[in-house]
Amino acid sequence: MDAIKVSNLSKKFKKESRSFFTTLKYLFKPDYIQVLEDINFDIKKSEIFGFLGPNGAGKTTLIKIILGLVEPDVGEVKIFDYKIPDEIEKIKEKINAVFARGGVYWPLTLKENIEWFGKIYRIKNLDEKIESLIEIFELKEKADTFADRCSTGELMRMKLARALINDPEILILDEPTIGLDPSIALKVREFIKKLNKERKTTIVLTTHQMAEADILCDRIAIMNKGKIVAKDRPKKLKGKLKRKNIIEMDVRNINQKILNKIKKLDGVLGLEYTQEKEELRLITEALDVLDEIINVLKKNRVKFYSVHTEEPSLEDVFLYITGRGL
Amino acid sequence: MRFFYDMYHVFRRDLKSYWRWKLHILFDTIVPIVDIALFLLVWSVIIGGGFEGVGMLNKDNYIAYLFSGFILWNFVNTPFTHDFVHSFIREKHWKTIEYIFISPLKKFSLPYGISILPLLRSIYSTIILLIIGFLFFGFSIKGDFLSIVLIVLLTFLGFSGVGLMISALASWREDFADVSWLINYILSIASGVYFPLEALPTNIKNFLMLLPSTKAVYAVRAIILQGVGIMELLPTILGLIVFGIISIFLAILVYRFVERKVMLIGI
Repeated sequence: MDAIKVSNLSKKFKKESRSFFTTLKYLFKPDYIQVLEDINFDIKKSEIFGFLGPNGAGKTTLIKIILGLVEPDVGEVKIFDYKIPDEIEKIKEKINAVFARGGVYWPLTLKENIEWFGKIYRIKNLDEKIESLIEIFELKEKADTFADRCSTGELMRMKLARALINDPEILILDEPTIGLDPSIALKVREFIKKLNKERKTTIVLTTHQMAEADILCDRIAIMNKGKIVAKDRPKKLKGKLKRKNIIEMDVRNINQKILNKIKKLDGVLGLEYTQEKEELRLITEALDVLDEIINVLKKNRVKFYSVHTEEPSLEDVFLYITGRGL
Repeated sequence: MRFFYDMYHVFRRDLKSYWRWKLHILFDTIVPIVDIALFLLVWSVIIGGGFEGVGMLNKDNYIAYLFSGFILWNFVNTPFTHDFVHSFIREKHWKTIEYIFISPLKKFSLPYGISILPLLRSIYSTIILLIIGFLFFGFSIKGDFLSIVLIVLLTFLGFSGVGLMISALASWREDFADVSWLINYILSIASGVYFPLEALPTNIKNFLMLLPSTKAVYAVRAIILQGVGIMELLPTILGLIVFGIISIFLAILVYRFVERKVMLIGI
C-alpha cells in the first residue's frame, strides 16, 4: 500500500481582483488560472519525497490538496487508501505538517504552542513528550519565551517539534528551511534525515533549493507551471545530463537581447543568467558551441572573465527540462 | 464529549494569551464602572428636569432600569465583540487555521471555545455592575435571580449564532466583520437598553418589540423591577429558544458554505 497516491489531479482557481469593475467583469465572465494539471505520483511508506520547483509552480497548492485543505477539480488523492478530502477525519491522527509561513500563536510561549497542539491531538504523557521534543530541537532555553520574541530559526524548530507531537506516519513539510540561517538549515535537514531513518516516517517536502532536495530526497518530482515535468531519483535525474556539458561563465554588461541570441544557437539546450552573481550557466549538447557563444559575446562587447565546465546538478536538470532557471 | 474537551482547550489557550497582559483585568473592571457612571449621570439630569415616567421607567427606578438593561446587554454584546467575530480571521492571519483544519479538533469547538473567554469577561463585568448597584445605589432584584440567568443564557446562545455567522463570513471576506459593530449598535438602541421604547411612536415600538433582544431586555426588566415570575415569561422564553435554534442552524449552514468556498479557492 502506498502512503500517498495521487491520480489525474487538476486544479484551477478563479481569478480575483480588488478593483470593483474587474470583480464585476469576473462575476459575469469568470477567468481561471490553471494551478495544477494532470498530476500523478505515488509515495511509498518511509520514503522522503520532494517537490522541487520555482515559486508559483503549484507545490503548496498540491500539498494543501493532499492535506484536504483544498478540493481538487478533477482527480483523486488517497492517503493509506483513504480518499481525501472525504475520509480525512480517519487519518488526521497519522499525519502532520509544517508550512513555511505563519502557524504560530504569538501571545503564547514556544512550549505553550506545542502543548496546545498536544492537547488537541490528545497525546498521552504530554509533558514528557514536550520535554523530549524541546530537548531534540534544542529549545530548552527558549521554551518559556513568548513566540513574538523568538527568531525565525527558533520558530521553525518549534513548528517542527509541534508537528511531531502525534508521532505522524506522514510528515509534510512546506519549504522547511526557508529563511533559516545556513547552520540552522543544516540542523533541520539532519533532523529530517534522522527522523526518516529512525522512525520510518514518510516525509513529503517542497523546496525550491536544488541542493536541499538532492541531499534529502529519495525521489524528486520537478514541478513547473502546475505540471510534474520529471520524477525520479536525484541521481537518475542528473544522469539525464550525462552526455551534456555544463558551462559556467562570469560575464559583465549582458542584456536580455544577447541572452536570447545565445539561446537560439544550435546546441544550446538551456541557459540561466544570475544577475547578482553576473554568472551565465549553459547546458550544451557539445563543447563546439562554445566558440559561437564567445563570438556572440565579443560581437556585443560583453566582457567575460572565466569559463569552466561543471558536473551537472539538479539545478541543471531543471534548466534542461524547462529551459529556464529557478 | 470530544467537542467539549476541544472547546475547553481552546478556552485555556485563549486564557493564557489573556493573562500575558495583566492590565486586561484592570480595564475589564474599569470599563463597566465608567459605562454605568456616564449613563447614570445623563439620566439623573433628565430625571432632574421633571420626568414623569414612560413604560416601566419612572423617576424612582431609573437606576435599576438602566442596570437591568446593562446586565442583559453585557451578554448580547459578547458574540459581536472583536475577539468573537475575528476568531477565524485571527487564525487566518496567523496562518494557524491550516494547522487547526488538519488536526482532529472538532470544527465548531473553535468559535464556541473562543466565546468562553468573552463570556466570562461579560460575567465579570456583570458582577462588577451588580456589586456597584447593590453597594452604592440600593439596587435590588424583585424577582427570581435564576430566571434572569436563564433568559440571559438563552439570549446569549441565540446571538452567538448571529456572531458565528458573521465570524464565518468574515473569514471569507474580512469586511463582513464590520457588520457586527453595526448590528450591535443598532440593536442596543432598537432594543430599549438605554431608553424606554414607549417614548417612540406606537408603530415603531410595536415593530421593535418583535426583536428577540427587545423581548429579552423587557423580560429581564420585568423580573428585576416588577418581580414577574418565570411562568408569565414563558412565551418570551419559547421565543428565545426558537430564535436560538434558527440562528445556530443558520450559522452552521453559513459555516459550511464558507468552508466549501474556502476549500475551492484555498485558505
